[in-house]
Amino acid sequence: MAKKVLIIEDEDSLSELIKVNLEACGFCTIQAMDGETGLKKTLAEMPDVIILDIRLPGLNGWEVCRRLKTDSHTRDIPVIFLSASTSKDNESRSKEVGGAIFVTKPFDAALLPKIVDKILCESGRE
Amino acid sequence: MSYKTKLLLAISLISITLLAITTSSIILLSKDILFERTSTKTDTIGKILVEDIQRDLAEGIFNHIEGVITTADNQANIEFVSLVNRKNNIIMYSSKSELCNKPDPYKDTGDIGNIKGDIYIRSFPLEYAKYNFLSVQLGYSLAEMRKDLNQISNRAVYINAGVVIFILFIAWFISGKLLMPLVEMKNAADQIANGNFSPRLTVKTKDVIGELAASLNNMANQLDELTNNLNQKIQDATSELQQVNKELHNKTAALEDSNKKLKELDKLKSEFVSMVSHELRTPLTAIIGFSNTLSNLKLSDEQKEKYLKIIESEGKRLAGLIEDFLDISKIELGIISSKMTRLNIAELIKETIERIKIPCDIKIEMNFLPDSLYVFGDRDRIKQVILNITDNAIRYSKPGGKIFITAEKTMDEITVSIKDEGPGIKKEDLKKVFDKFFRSKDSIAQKSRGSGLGLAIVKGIIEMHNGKIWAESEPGKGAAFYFSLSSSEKA
Repeated sequence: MAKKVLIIEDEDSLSELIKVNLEACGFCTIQAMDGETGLKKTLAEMPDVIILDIRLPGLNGWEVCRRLKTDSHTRDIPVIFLSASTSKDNESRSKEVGGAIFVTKPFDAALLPKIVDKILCESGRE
Repeated sequence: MSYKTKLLLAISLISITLLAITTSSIILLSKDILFERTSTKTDTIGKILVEDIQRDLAEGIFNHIEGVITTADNQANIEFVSLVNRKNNIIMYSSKSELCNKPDPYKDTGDIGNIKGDIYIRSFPLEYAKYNFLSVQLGYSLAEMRKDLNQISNRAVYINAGVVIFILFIAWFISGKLLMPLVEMKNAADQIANGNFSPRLTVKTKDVIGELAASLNNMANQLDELTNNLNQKIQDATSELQQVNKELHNKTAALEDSNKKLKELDKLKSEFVSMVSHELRTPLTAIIGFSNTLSNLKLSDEQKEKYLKIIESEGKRLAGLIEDFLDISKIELGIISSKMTRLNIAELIKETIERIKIPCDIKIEMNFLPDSLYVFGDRDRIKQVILNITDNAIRYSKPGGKIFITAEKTMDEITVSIKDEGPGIKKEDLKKVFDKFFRSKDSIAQKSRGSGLGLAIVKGIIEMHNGKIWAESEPGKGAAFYFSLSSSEKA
């Protein structure tokens, strides 16, 4: 069965880019344009992996991740952070809030499915 | 021992010595006079006796001789009178005398000054040839003379003791009086030594002490003047130092201020660079990502077209961002060029709004009074102003929100307002909204995807046109941006 990936990204173009590349590698994708929607879709769809942008309208990525990690239902879903910032602070903060990996923009879209595979493998969800 | 005591002692010693010498001289002189007088008196009585007795002897009146002797004996101070022969046997003596019981005759006592006893004894030989073996012996009592001498000595001593006391008193008084200016000078010198230069002495005399007092006054004057000069100099130096210190303080404050500003500027600069890189990353990621996707994946024609369009729009967005960065750089460097023409602002607004992609849930209402409003400005730049403010209003509008754009003429100015129904701006942020990269901390602002330079560019352009720009807001009820431009060519 295809693994489900939830993409929480407010930039249409980037969300589409991630979606098309993951689907080409056999993943099933769900899209959310903001944090609130992302949290709702997580509970409804229970994805295997979440790709989470940090700068989002409303709840930001950090807050979304914090809420995911405090909910026992969603706690174990690995989170891949996306950010245009290359700051080391952000990288360490992503680890603090329980992010699995921190990917900076611009990223290689073709590599993203491999990163997702690796994270799934590490978390034992494959 | 004080100087006064010493002086007093010296005067006393001298006076006592002088008086002692005088006293002893007086006593000695008195003694001599008294001795002389006594011996003369004895001699006189003796001579008279000798003459009387010789005459009686010559006339043969022997019984008269006894009477003569007795008469002589009755004279004051005469102790005894006797007539003795060559062998010193007493032949006759005065009746008062007690010599009748005396077996041995008297011996002459010699010089009056050497007598130890109370009686001065002298013999006077008779010169009458027949009786020249006889001599008259006279005893003269010295008791009265000694009494007188004692009295004189006592008086001299008493008077001189009184004089000594008087001299001592005068010496004490004079020395006190003489020493007074010295004491005053000493006190003044003490005060001067302690740093008080105010005491001055009254110069009364023209002697050494007076000169000393004058010198002391002079010294005090010079010291006073010197100290005053020094104090003045110290005061001047202190105030100068204080002034310099104040200036230094001000300069330090100014330096700190400019340092702070520089730091802020530096921070803004790095923020600018960081923001620029951040803003460029998203469209770049899309462009690179979709280009790779198009060449790597097998896609339908429909998908290909869609992605190519994304690449195009992201490319345009990138171009827009770069344009904004360039604009703000030009504005900040003051090298922006402008072509000033007469513009119908209402038409320009309408034209600009038509070209904006407005979300279907946001409505824009325009109202212009009157319809034809003209301003002088650079067409493209004013368009950019309208575009940026409206774009901003759209980004902060809630779904279903409205944006009101008005323009009206006031005096020789045209004021344009663009109001939204968004979250509004906090009072403390009203002035900051025109700063580069300023973004409200409200959560909704994070939806903003502008360059963060839109309003900064707007402000730069309006100021370039000598116009005014400001923002008003009631938090929760939306924000309004106003700009006014001159309707005449002069501006």
